[in-house]
Amino acid sequence: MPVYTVTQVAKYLKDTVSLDRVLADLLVSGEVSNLSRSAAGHCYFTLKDVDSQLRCVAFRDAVGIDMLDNGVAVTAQGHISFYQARGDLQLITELVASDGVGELHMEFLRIRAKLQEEGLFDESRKRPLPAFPKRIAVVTSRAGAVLHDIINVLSRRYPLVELLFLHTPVQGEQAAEGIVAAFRTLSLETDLDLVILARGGGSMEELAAFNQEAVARAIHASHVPVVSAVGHETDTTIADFVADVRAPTPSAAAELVTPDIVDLQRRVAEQRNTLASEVLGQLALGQDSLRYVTSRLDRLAPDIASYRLRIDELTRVALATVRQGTALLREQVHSRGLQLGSLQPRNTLSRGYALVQRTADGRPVSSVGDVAPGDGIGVQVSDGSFQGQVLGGPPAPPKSRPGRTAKKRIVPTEQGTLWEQGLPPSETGVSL
Amino acid sequence: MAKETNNSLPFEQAFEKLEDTVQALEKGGLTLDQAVALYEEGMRLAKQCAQRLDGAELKITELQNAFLNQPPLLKEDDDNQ
Repeated sequence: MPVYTVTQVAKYLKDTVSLDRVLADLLVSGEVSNLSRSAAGHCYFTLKDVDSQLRCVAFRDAVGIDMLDNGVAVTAQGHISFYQARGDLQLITELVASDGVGELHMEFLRIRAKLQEEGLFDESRKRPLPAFPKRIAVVTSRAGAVLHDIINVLSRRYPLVELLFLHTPVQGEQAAEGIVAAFRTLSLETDLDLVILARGGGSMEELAAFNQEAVARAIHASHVPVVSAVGHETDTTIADFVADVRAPTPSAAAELVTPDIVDLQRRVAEQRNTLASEVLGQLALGQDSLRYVTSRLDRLAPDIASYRLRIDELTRVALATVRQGTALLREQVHSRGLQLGSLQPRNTLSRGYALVQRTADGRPVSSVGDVAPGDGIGVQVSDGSFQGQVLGGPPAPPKSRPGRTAKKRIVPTEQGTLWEQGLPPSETGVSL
Repeated sequence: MAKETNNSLPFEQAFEKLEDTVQALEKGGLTLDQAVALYEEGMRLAKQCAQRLDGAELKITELQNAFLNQPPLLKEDDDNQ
């Protein structure tokens, strides 16, 4: 019989344990005791029941590690490993839940922890829903009330949308595959605004498809936001965690994704009123400013009335000045007339002088040389004129013979007075 | 032309335009002509929006789920409440 070293045996045990299919993944229920937490946050404890105990390690990232406490009954999920340094077999615990939780729930916790770790539930990757969706896809079963409820709500609230319906079983073995396929079909749809993944309430077993990793990944991969509405408000599935928005029920999902037509109609009416009141306000404003400008225009316009007054005044002054001028002129003309009057030959004539003119050319005779005997002459006296004829030359000096004195024959004429022919009437035509 | 284009706007865009128009008018600083033009445009959009809302009817299209091309499996399994 060969002799083995301890290390050889320990190594053999370790390999044997790690190759065992049962020990690779198992659920163990028992009571926690000898719990100690290391500074790094790992937990070392013992699970025991009436007859036995099992050493356990839960590293700090194990799911549910916080609920570990001495005396607590738990179900732990993990694998058995042989720890060579101490020769111990221990349960490397990945997940702990209170005792009595079924396998399904353990699986749920495991997937949830895994996907959370991967960041599939991160708030930062949740997409907002469009305010006015045009095309909404609904993934659910044709059977049951879910589709009917959604159609009702959409028809009432926002009938402007187009609903794309994809049938899939929502429970049973084909459910997960059907849901994943539905999302695959939808990934080809352009112009899609969002997807509602819906199912009525049910037991944990009935909702199992919505807790499957494949479904979670299909939701996560969707190119448009996904609204989950699975079960009742109290049933939270992995799908709810991954979805962009979680609605408590299918009807609630339909309400959540659409605006309310009544509200929209009210808003349109409000906008219409605002438009009317705004434009009326603007018009009133326009009228005000028009009035203001008009009044300014009035104030700034040239003052025609005062110009008119000024013109009247100037006219009056001008008239007065002109009148004064003409009066003066008239005065002067009159006095010149008087002066002229004194020079009037008639005045001289009236004193007995006569004016003699040659009949031939009308020139006055002022010298004896101006006439020759036989020339016709006109003689003008104070009250008229007459014609005469030169009878002879000048008389011999000192004692001339009376017979040789010029004898004139006077003939009256119809000549007008100088006065009448010459100067104009003293009153000029000026009148203003 | 512009009218025709507006009439074919989807509700969302018509409604957004309506809100923008009202906002522009509320913001002020417009000439009276501009204000009146905005008012007319807004009223046309409001009428259009109202007509859309009043006349809408939900359109439902069923898409074939590729997976469901093998129909027999489904009906038994499908007793969802």
